[in-house]
Amino acid sequence: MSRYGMVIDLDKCNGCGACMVACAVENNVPPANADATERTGITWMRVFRVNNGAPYPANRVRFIPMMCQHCADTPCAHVCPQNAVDVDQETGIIDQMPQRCLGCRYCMAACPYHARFFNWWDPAWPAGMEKALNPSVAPRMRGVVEKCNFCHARYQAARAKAAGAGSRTVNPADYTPACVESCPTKAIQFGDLADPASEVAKASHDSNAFRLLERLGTESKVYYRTEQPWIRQMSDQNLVQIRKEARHA
Amino acid sequence: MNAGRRNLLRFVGGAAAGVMITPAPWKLINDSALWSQNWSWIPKLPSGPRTVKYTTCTLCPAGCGVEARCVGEQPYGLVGVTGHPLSNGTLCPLGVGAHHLPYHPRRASFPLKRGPVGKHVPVSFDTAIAEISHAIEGRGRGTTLAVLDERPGRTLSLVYRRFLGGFSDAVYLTPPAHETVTLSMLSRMTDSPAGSLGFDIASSRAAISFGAPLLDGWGIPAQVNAARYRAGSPMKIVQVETKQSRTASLADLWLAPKPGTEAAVAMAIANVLVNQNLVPAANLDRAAGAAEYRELIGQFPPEAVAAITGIPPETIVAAAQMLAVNLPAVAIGGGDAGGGAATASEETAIAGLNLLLGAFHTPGGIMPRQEPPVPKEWNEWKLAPHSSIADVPDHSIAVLILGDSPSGDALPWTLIAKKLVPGKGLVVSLAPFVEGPSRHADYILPAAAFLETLEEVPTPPTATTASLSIAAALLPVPKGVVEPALVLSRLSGTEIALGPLLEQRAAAIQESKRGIVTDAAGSKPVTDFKTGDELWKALVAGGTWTAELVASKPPVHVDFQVAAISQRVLVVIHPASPADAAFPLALTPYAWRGASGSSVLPPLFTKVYQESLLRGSAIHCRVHPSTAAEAHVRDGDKVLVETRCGSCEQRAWLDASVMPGVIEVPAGPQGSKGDYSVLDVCALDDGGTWRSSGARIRRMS
Amino acid sequence: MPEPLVRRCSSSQFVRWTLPWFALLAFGLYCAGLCLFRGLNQTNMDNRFAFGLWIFLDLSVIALGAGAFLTGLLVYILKRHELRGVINTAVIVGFCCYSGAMAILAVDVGQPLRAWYTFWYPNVHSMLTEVTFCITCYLTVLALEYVPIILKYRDLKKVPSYLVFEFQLHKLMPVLAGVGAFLSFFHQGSLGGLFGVLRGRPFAFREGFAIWPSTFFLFILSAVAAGPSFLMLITWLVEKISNHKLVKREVFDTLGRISGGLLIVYVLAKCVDTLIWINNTSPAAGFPAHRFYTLQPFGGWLLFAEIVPFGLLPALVLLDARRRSDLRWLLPAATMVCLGVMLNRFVLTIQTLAVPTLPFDSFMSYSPSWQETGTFLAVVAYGVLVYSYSFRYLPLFPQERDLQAAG
Ligand SMILES: Nc1nc2c(c(=O)[nH]1)N[C@H]1C(S)=C(S)[C@@H](COP(=O)(O)OP(=O)(O)OC[C@H]3O[C@@H](n4cnc5c(=O)[nH]c(N)nc54)[C@H](O)[C@@H]3O)O[C@H]1N2
Ligand SMILES: Nc1nc2c(c(=O)[nH]1)N[C@H]1C(S)=C(S)[C@@H](COP(=O)(O)OP(=O)(O)OC[C@H]3O[C@@H](n4cnc5c(=O)[nH]c(N)nc54)[C@H](O)[C@@H]3O)O[C@H]1N2
Ligand code: SF4
Ligand code: SF4
Ligand code: SF4
Ligand code: SF4
Ligand code: SF4
Ligand SMILES: [Mo]
Repeated sequence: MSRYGMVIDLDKCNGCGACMVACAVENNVPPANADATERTGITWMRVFRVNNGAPYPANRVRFIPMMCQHCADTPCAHVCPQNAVDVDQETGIIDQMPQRCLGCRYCMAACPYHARFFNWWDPAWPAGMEKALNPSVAPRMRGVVEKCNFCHARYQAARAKAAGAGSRTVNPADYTPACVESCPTKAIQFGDLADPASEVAKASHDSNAFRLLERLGTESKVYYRTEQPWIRQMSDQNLVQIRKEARHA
Repeated sequence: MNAGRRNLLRFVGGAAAGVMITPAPWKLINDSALWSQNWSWIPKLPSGPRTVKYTTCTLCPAGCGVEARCVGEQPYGLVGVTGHPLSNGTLCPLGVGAHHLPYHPRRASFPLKRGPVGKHVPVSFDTAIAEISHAIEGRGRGTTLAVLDERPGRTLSLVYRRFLGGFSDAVYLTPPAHETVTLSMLSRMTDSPAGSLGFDIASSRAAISFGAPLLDGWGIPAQVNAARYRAGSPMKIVQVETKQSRTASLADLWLAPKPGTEAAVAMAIANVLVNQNLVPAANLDRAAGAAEYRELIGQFPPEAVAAITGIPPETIVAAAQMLAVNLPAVAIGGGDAGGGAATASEETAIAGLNLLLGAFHTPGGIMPRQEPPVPKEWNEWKLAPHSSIADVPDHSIAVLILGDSPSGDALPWTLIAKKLVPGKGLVVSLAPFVEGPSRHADYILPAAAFLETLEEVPTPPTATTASLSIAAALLPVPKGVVEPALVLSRLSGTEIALGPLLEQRAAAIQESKRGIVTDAAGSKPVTDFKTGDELWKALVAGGTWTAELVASKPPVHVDFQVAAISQRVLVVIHPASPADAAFPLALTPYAWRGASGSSVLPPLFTKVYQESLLRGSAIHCRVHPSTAAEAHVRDGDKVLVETRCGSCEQRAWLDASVMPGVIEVPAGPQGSKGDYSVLDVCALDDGGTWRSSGARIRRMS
Repeated sequence: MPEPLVRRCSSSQFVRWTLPWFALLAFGLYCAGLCLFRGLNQTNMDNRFAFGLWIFLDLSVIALGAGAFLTGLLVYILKRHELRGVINTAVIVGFCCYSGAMAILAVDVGQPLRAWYTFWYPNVHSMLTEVTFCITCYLTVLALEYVPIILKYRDLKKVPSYLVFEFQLHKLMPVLAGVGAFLSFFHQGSLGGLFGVLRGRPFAFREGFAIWPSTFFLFILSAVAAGPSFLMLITWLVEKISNHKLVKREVFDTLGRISGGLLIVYVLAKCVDTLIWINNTSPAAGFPAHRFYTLQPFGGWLLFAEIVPFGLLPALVLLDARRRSDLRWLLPAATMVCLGVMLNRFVLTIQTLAVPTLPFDSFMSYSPSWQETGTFLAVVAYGVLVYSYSFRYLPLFPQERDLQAAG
């Protein structure tokens, strides 16, 4: 039994966006429809630009990469009426089954991390680009919800490789999600949190490590770390001022 | 049975009930659901054996090594090559999505000609060549033929210059430099044999950057990262920039000067370094103008500069101390490409810092670079002179050939258009995309896109060691695509082929016995190649040739152009004209390295500039909430940004990270909806830069 | 059986009345078609406002349609025979509300063709599964209750087997009423539960009893409080439009009294619930409740409005026999009750989604697109038309003949 998870070093992330592009490449997420906005686009990985709210020039911007936090107590799975959210007991990965999904979007209302995305449009690629799709990941259809699944196809491939060698355990070197692999600053660590010897498990116990909205009790498996207190406060509504200004009236 | 109304009603009722107990409706429901999972317009996935191939990214000069995961022959995912001598496993977001570029919606894959209504229509290659030749031959006296090469430094660049050298009046143009201006300034100031310089940033312990996007794709990103995330002693970064760029927000110290006062900051830091004896006096003593320089920086005590720049004196002192205790340290100028270059006087002030910090010819500072050997016979070539577009007279270019670079406009179209013969100037683009300046071209003879043809990747301009690698062709070339060398052959009537030239170049390197080749997987350095052909094959297989680091001692003589500094800096202290009351705000454009203007971005970049708020596109402007409140602008409002040079429509983002009184606008990307650049409304100042223009902002109804 | 002696307007007058509604229906169907064939990009919903106008109005309409099961329960099981005067109207209004809501849901989900998966692969822990099961069953019950009314249509009555069927169905009515009430309690409750269980949305999340959060019970209470008021308003409107007296005034009085009584219980429960939420539930999840109300325009006034002017006030009016007997008090109070329950549904859907959960996220706003609005208007038009035809051709009001004779 593994518990795959991440520790993301916010002092390393420079908001370059390579992880967002790599995720879309890996998982066959199409480019935006011409009318799509930041509220209707599909970004399994989304890097948020956050701000300490201080007056200029004490003001500081940082970046928080966000994807599905793979909650152990899984709000989206609890509410899905037709079991389209799969909670894998072997790995702890929360997977989405788009063929099963009704598109009711109840899970989106349930997810506190806004990690789920609805296909508002038919998926479409520029002519010819379908040839360059990842052969291991099926594209989704209009009207269903999708999200980060820790690059499940890569996990499957690693498991198949292990099985080929007669092993039931996946070699960590064979299973690296696309965002982790692409990050130029190596800000994202990935691995088995249940294995106390793993780097990621050790990093998750760093005194500067934290999880987002910890008190909601979602028991998410994505940790963050930073030495900046103001960013750590971003994990908890009690500690920060809610932003009042509306984005796009 | 009579077919009365009553019976009909009875029949309908019975039938409705009856049909429900047959399998028909249930089968229908099931089939419809299956159909919803198999819509024919959802693409079928490619299939075939999985392989791995190696190539080099050509989207910017950093030359990152690329591992291409392929299905059959088709790359479907690109990752960095661990152990690659330049990039060591790193790709930037451009590189990660680069294999989709051949399918860019604005791809041109056969010759096009501007039709009567301004739309591009297909044209035959021969017809196009005949018409272009005719225009070249028939150009009027006093007008010229020019090539604008956005990727200088390649063998193909030399081919362009050689082609142009065949005409008495032709000019070779490149866009303004950014990353290398500090280096060329230093090069001019020293007495060492005029050679190339590079930043040995991987070994620096501190860097002060004047607006250069150090953490956002500058130079060779992998080497900056190696220094910045070095275990134990990460490189300190002091960022001097009005805008809170990515680099500024992550820097150890961010100094935010009022727009246009960067030179004063450099002078004040120099003042502290000298007056607090933070650096050895010997560093300065080898400069020719040391005494005048000392006197000049004496006029910039941190307290006085605080009033000019808005930066507290203690911050300036802290910056100087941070640099002095973390030697080797280096000062980097150049600014950000779209944000406007630093001026000559600013670069001189920055050079002064390098001098004081002892960065010249010091590991971890600025090191000389030995250029790769060139075949002897090439030295006989008659090459057209290298000109800056600013030096070309207006209305003088009769035929302008835009080079094969797929990158967007490193020059605003307005600037290019001014140089063309009015009404008659013919523009020919060799770019593979109808983007950037190509959109204005009369003819497009598209070159192959990334991954479709063998390309040369020369030394990155900021590198300390020369290098050469090859981007292999992994994809077939579309039929209508034209090799740039073929275009030049046909126009000049002489046979020109790039392939043999590249092989000659490899042979010259092999003969020199310099450097090593690291193989495609980034593991096995090889030094001894028996023949040029052997070396060439190693490069084509994905190897990278790198020269050794040149051992050096500091140059003895440095000529300080103090006059240039004082001129500019004094202007800052005593502004010649008061601020423009009608345009009280400062419009400061900024670029995203390789992605501003309307350059070509991999299609999946919509994730970062359209489908999220990570990076703004050309349709957004950021203003501080207080600036917005004064202009009665709310978040998300449509606004008009006006300067003395024009106006453009934007959507306002209220952002507390922006300096009050400043409007920040990205030069690009434009997304699917924009078709203009904010740079077209920026004013050029007398320093030759457009970093800040007087502006105002107004809410549109 | 004698033909009903009630008079109805001329055919041409009826056609003139229905024509604009048919036009609206056609426009709305066009809008719904756009959403179905071009996809939900035709709406202004987005990944943050995963629910919008439709879910808000579905919840409202289902709450207002609660008059159907409550009246059934009162008439057939609790034997409150004075309400027989409105039982048919209650059934038809309920049927329109529920079938309309189902139709909108079919447009609202991204893959309507897969709706039946909920029955095939149900997640029994999901409130939405509970809602889907109960509403589907209850709509069937409503249809069965509607059938005998339809079978009273002159021509149909001439089919003897239909007559037998009608008679048998009629005997079933108390059973149907019981089943309907049971199902309704559950789905009204689980509609409230939909939001109350959202642990990830502390603005909506509530503790409760067993598997049901408090909103489960609050929704039942508020729906049964609003249902009779809505029924009264509809009946009154039909009287005005048709210019006929249809029910005895006592009926209004009874409906008002029931509404008021249930409402005051609801208001008290809601107050207790709110206090527990402010002091326990929300802070325990890491969210100081007062913060939610710093986000204008959804300030604390909304909570106040829900409880006092749209809750306590109309309840007191409806419980005061003297005021209740005066239509000038009764009707506005009933209107307030209905608006109050809609406001509650609005808060739970729209405000829940608007308030940010991530501390670095900003407040969002949403307004429906014309396609969304049009689709909803189709349901309004559909309801009006179904009711109009029923009113014209079916004997809806048993008291009408006597009242006419008397008047
Ligand atoms: N004019 C101009 N200069 C620029 C820029 C620009 O846009 N315009 N951009 C700047 C930027 S941002 C970048 S990234 C760089 C890139 O372009 P440049 O700075 O122009 O390139 P270099 O670093 O001079 O050249 C790269 C390599 O190409 C080879 N090379 C260049 N010129 C010659 C030549 O004449 N002969 C031979 N044999 N070899 C040559 C050298 O081996 C060198 O190592 O340039 C910077 N300089
Ligand atoms: N294929 C390929 N792509 C490349 C490169 C390459 O070698 N090959 N090089 C990469 C590198 S190293 C860089 S730095 C980038 C550079 O390119 P980008 O980072 O994309 O920056 P640009 O926006 O091009 O920056 C220059 C901007 O300044 C504007 N500009 C130039 N001169 C003036 C002027 O006089 N007045 C005004 N108002 N505006 C002006 C231009 O409109 C242009 O938008 O390109 C990158 N892209
Ligand atoms: S983050 Fe959201 S989508 Fe992911 S498991 Fe948690 S609730 Fe589900
Ligand atoms: S949208 Fe799909 S995954 Fe989400 S709750 Fe509905 S059926 Fe389940
Ligand atoms: S783990 Fe995979 S699916 Fe998840 S965000 Fe990273 S790249 Fe995307
Ligand atoms: S790739 Fe790495 S550095 Fe870039 S945005 Fe993602 S996490 Fe941050
Ligand atoms: S830094 Fe330059 S060479 Fe490297 S991946 Fe990015 S665009 Fe390509
Ligand atoms: Mo550059």
